[in-house]
Amino acid sequence: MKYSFFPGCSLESTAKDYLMSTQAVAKALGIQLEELPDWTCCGSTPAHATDALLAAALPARNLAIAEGRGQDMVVCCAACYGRLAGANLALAEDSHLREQVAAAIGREYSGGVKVRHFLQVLREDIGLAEIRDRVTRPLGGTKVACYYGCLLTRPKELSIVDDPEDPQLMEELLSAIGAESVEWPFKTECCGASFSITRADTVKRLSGEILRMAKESGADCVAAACPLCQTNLDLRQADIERSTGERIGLPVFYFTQLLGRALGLSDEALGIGKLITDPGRVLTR
Amino acid sequence: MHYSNTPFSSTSTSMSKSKSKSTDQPVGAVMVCGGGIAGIQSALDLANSGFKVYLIENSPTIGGKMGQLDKTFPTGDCATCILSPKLVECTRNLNIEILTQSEVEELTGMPGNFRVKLRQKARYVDIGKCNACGDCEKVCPVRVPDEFNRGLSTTTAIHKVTAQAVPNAHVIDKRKRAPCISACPLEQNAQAYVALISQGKLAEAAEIIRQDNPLPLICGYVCHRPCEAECQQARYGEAVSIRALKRFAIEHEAANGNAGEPPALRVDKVAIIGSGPAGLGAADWLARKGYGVTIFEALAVPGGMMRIGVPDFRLPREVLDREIQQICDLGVELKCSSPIGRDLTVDQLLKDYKAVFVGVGAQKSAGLGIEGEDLQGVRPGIEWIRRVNLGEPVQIGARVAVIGAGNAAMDIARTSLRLGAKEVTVVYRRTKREMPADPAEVQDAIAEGVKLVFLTNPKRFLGKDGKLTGIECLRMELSDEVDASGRRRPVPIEGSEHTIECDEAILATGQAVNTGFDDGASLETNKWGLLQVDPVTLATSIPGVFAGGDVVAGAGTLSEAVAAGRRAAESIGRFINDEDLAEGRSADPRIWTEDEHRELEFIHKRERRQKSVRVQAGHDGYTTEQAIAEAQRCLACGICCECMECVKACQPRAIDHEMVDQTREIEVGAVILAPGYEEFDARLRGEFGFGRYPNVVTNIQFERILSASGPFGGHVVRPSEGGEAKRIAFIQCVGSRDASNGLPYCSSVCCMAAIKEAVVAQSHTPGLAATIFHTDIRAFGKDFDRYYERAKADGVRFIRGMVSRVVEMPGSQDLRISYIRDGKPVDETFDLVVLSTGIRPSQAALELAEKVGVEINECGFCRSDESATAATSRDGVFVAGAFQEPKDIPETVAQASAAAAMAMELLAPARGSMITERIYPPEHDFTDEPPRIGVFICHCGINIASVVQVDEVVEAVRKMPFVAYAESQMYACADNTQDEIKRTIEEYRLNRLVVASCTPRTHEALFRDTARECGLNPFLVDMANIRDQCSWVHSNEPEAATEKAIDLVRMAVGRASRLVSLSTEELPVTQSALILGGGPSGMTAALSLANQGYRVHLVEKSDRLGGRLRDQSLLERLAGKLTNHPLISVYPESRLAELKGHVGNFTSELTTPAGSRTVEHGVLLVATGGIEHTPTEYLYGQDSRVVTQRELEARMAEGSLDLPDNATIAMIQCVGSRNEERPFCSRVCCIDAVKNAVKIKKSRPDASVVVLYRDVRTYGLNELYYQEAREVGALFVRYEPDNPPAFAEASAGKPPLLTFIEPELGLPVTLRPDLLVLSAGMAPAIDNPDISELAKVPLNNDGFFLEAHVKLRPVDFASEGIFLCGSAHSPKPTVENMQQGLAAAGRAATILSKKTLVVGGQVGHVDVRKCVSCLTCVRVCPYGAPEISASNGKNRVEIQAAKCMGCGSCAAECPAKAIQLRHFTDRQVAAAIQALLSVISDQSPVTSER
Repeated sequence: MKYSFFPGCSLESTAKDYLMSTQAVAKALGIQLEELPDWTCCGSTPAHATDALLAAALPARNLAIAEGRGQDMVVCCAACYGRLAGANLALAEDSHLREQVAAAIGREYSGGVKVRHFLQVLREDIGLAEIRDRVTRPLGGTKVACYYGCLLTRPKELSIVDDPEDPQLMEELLSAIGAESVEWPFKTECCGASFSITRADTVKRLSGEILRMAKESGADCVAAACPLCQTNLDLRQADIERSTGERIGLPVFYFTQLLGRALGLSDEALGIGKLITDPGRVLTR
Repeated sequence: MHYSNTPFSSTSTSMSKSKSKSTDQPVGAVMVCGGGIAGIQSALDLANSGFKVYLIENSPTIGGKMGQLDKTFPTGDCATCILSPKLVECTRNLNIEILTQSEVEELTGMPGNFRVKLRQKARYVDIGKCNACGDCEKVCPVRVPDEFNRGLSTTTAIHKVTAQAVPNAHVIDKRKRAPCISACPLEQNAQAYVALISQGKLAEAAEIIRQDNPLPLICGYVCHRPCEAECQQARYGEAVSIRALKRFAIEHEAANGNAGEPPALRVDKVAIIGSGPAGLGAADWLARKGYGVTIFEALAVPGGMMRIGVPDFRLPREVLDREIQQICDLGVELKCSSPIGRDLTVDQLLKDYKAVFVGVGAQKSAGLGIEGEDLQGVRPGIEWIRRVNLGEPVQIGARVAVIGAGNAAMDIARTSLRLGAKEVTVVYRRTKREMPADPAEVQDAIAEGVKLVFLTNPKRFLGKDGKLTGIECLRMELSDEVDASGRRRPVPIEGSEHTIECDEAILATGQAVNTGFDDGASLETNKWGLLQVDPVTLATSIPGVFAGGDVVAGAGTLSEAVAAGRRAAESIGRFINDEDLAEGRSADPRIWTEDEHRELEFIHKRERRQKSVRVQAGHDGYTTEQAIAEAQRCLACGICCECMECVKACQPRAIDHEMVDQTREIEVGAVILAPGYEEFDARLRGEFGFGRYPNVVTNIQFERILSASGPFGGHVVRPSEGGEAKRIAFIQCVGSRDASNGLPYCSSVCCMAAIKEAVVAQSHTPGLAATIFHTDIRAFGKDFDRYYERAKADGVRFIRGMVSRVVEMPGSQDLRISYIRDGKPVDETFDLVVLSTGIRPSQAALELAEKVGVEINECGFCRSDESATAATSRDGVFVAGAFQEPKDIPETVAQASAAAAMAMELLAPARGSMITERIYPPEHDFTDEPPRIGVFICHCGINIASVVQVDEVVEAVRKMPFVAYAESQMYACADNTQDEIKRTIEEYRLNRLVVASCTPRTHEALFRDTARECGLNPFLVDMANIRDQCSWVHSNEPEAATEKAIDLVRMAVGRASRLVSLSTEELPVTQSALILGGGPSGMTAALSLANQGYRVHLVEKSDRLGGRLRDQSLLERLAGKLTNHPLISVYPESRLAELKGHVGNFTSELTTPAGSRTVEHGVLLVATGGIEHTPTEYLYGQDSRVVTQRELEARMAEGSLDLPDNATIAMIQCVGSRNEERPFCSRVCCIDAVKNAVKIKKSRPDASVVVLYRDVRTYGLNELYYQEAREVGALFVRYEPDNPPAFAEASAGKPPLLTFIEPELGLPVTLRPDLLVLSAGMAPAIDNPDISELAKVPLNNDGFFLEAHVKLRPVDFASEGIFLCGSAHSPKPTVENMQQGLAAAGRAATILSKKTLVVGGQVGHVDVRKCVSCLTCVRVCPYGAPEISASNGKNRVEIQAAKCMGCGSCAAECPAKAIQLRHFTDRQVAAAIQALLSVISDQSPVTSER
């Protein structure tokens, strides 16, 4: 199974561990992720807030490259996913925009590329049964709060799950590797990522609430599928603890890291060491 | 009340009239679609006025949504208590045929003469036989969410929808057969045995398993479990361990002994070749059918591949031996070491046997056909493992390679390890995903240390000195090409040769058939050497020879082989009996489609998640507790599992699982559509968490929570843990006023429903605090605002605002709602959240509309002409209830009567042509005969008999005075019992009847009818309720219950000894109507009645017709028809001066310009309308810029609305409404205001329109006008009643300023309007008190007329024969006024259609000697029955039988004891009490008391 892989800027930098664990898991499961040649910025938040054409053209350039390769495009970053899938939809619906974009990027894009999140590939192309069979080190009932954030589930048209209010995709995946997913109400809550720079206090409040809710739900750790979410929950956790005086101590993994461990991959290969909040307690269970 | 069936205007003496078949004559029958309150009302009105009614209902019971409600507001009546009598009335009415679970397939023909094709779904329970005793429920093992309680409780697959269900019979819910069953080659009823295990019914489970499986325990060990692969649970979590449960049930049975009688042998003999699963499967079936079976087995031991192929660590040999022995015990002869072929051929067998079954299996290994296969160490797998399994010596190397990936490969690999191999590697050319072996076997193999190598294919075997040393292999990859098996084809990678070293290679790559049994080679084979058979019958090319199993299919599975054996056996049976081999059979297994699976997945979503993890079995299988827990994980995909436990339990033999859908054609003259509504699916508003958070419920669920008969017995508790709910939030408009979900209209009923639920909940639990989050509060109906204000006073909190989401707090499962208070966000948690889900047309209703051919509107409701009130786009088809527009119960009931009236108009010539009347023999006169009482005591199946010792009751009753006969019956109400009762009455010359059974509420009429058919007066029957009031409530005290039952019967016998025949009397009916008021409602009513052929006197106090009707064209149309109608007399400028008489025979004095006139009439309709309040506020009448909404409309109609450019128009709502003086909503003003705002904005886009309101009450589809008004730019600003807008001069000489507070800003805003429009409310008509006095009909606190019952009798007065309609009832828009007018006409027709009325019977009777004319009775009687009469010389009270409803209030209140209620006289009541005290007087009772 071969895919065009779009890492995006986060996975090359702050979310290096997401990239490492994704690649390791893909390899272990026989998923061939071929990095999209000459990929460029997806446009992420700033572009679509300022310029509709730019917001469509940036992802369209990458989609056009993928189209030539005839493979589905696989994305891990939730923001990249949102931009690429969103542009795909906008271009499919708007022929005028298609023409404008073609002029801007200097190539045609017919809209034929399927943009898929890595979670979807695991669930749909590999399947729970296969993953269950491959587990060599089951998670032994570790309680995980699966956290999707806002971008993977909204808007409805782009949602990677069938029920945006109550997704089960990650839960099913993690229960297949022996984790116990907790039911909690903040699965798709916003962590405040777009205010990371401008209103860090807001981000702290929102992320803090998410962490507290996960903790109260009985989770031992959080599984994230978005580099921005993971950063906010993990990196800011100590700061949040300091300002509220409340200990949280919830490791925030990428779901790929938990999956990789269950498949028997090494912590080094999965970038576990890059986590800020100490995952030791969870991993030694 | 009136007992006997009243005759209609035609005179006939036959039991059922044949309809006259002339082309002009319409059909005197109506089809009413929908058995909710609307359909019931239409049906009753029609049937009570001479029409035959077919009442068609989708569900198994009538009653609709109303039956699910707890209480109705504002009166707080129990919904069921007021609905049930109507349901019972429907079933008792001879002219209503109720067809449940039915739907319309097609409607053809013309108005007056329609033909309807109906389909009635199978109920699987015969309504005629079912006694609703509930014995079936007790044994049903399936638990599914109870739809009636909206999933808050569970019910059984066979169940009664509610305790009060009508028809009073059970029903079985079935889906398609569960996927586990469909997936099984043997079609084993897995759902049934799992369900039975879940209820601890282990023996029954084993019995079910054995029905289809001759080798159940073997299958319990080694079946390949296709059932589990298809299990719904497997799609998310782990499949139910069906195989392990099977093993458990059979082992449990073995431990507890099982009895099976060998069947008697028949002479027809059948030979079976091979004792493997196919042969044994065939042998078992044939032996059980009584055939003589001989099995020829080539080997010295039986079992075929089960013995030689499956190692004993997977299938213990004692299990195999035991099950084979069990088959032999059926009389099967087993001949081992008897190969067929050389010495004994198939042809020879056919001489001695009627038929032959070939089930020899495929016991030869198929080679790979590659180089080196002849090397020492390369072994054919089947032959190798056979030797092992037969205990023969085998060699094993140190390093073993097994080629192949099926179960055989796993068995060989694991056996090799056990034999001492150091290293075992399984080599497979595809990936793990494609492995045919059972994943559990693979897992076990891996766990034992077997290595698996994938995408690797042997190219050749390498050897040295003739001995194997290794295998040269190629690496493979899966191509995109898919092969015949549906898997991707593996292709070799060039140059990838490598060597796997081994000293032993065992081939498990396929099986082949050894055709030695067919030495003559007479049977046809295919290119793979397998026998060629018919796929359905398994017949070979030789007649009488059948084949199945691996010999036909190649390497298959155990269960497939058994199934093939059974299939062939059935063919053999047919062959021997000369029957068609193929008829009614098919080869296709009915596997579920992906879509069907998805649908179920959605249904099971929540439950599935809770039950996703398997209960693990130990090595020795499940313990009983584990098995039950595991079995409870089953989701009951098929609902009913057809275990047949109910059939065994049903004593009246009412259950038939073989029932099929029926089609039927009927002829009707008109159709009424009343299919009701469905609730919005609250899951679509995912932000509220419905379906995920157990403590978020819908309003219907909350009604069930509040209901005493609901899942929690009326305690307000949280579904999550059953704790008390004290903080409850209601969220309004969930799926209403929600254009984004395609529901732009208002559902009309939710505001009041929520307020009522809040008030009722607060009364249930002290300290309970209810909060209602709402946008507007739409309390627009009669007395609604009073109720709203009272709720506020009772502490119900109202918070204006739309809730964006509900968050379930971890741990506590409390629910957090965030809202804005005083401009700041607030988080508040609640115990329970109730979603006020909106009303939407049901899918079934939309399908019905399409079948019937009526148009629907943009919101999906039935399109109806605004002025036609109940008409649809198809002539002769009418609509009633929420299918036309969301509406409350009274509007629904009124529209139902209106639709009935329209049907009556259409079919007036056919009235009485299709009705059935019951003709009785003359009554015997028992006067002065001593009582001879017959007592019938009912077992009610085991309902009574399991608690009360019925025999003891019978014995005791036989000793009671006057009892001439006493016996018990299984079911006193059964048809055959009625015959028995009749015979007994005649044989024993009984003159009184006592039935000791259930409640008179449902059954008294039946027994009275039976008595009447024997010439007994119906009042000579009494009942003792020894079920509801005895066995059911005292089930823990059987002895005391028996005592009590005897006492109850004793009382009934005592009273019966004093019962007397009561006579009824027929009074002629004056078939004309007097209508007061010539407005829209009065005119509509007049036209309808006249069109039905009744004379109408229409009295109008003004000089013109029309009342407040503004629509000139409508007015002209109505008035024109009216004045030209020959049956209508209009009396303008006239008033009612005096009203005398009673229902059927009123006499009125009218004051007319021409003097006084006397009118005789059978009914009176009060349609006196209302008036518009004249404002005194806002400079009305002082400033020319201030007008009323009505005046604005008039100006716009005239075109005289003169406005400057960029004009500002302000409207103020609720002027003179909803205040202390008039504390009611006028219902019409908001609608008028938004419509006028739209008109102004459309004609003058430059104008600004500002509407100042308190709540915008544009209910129903009027909401669309409100939406449009906002879209065209009208501004809506809310004001608080304690801070209303002010309109006054700002400073002297300047034009006045309009000042109001913008509530969100909290700041004052000023406007200088060019036009100020006041929405002045409505007021009751001034002469209402006079009419109230004259007609003795009540007014409510606001001065409007008060109907008999605000919910179910909206246009009736409590006094019979008097009706009300229109704004005399309460303010309402024209279309609703006209609807009520029609409704009143429909109701009136139930009286006018009769030539005579039956009066008397159970009525009050005055002893004039004792009466002192104190008027107490006159005051207490709600019906105005007692009247002071001077007819006998003195002024004494006389109770008019025609008005008396037999309630007994007068008898109870009379201080002089002058009044007795007949049938409940003091003597009769005292006799019951005396009987209880065992002092029944044996003096001869008085038997005439007339």
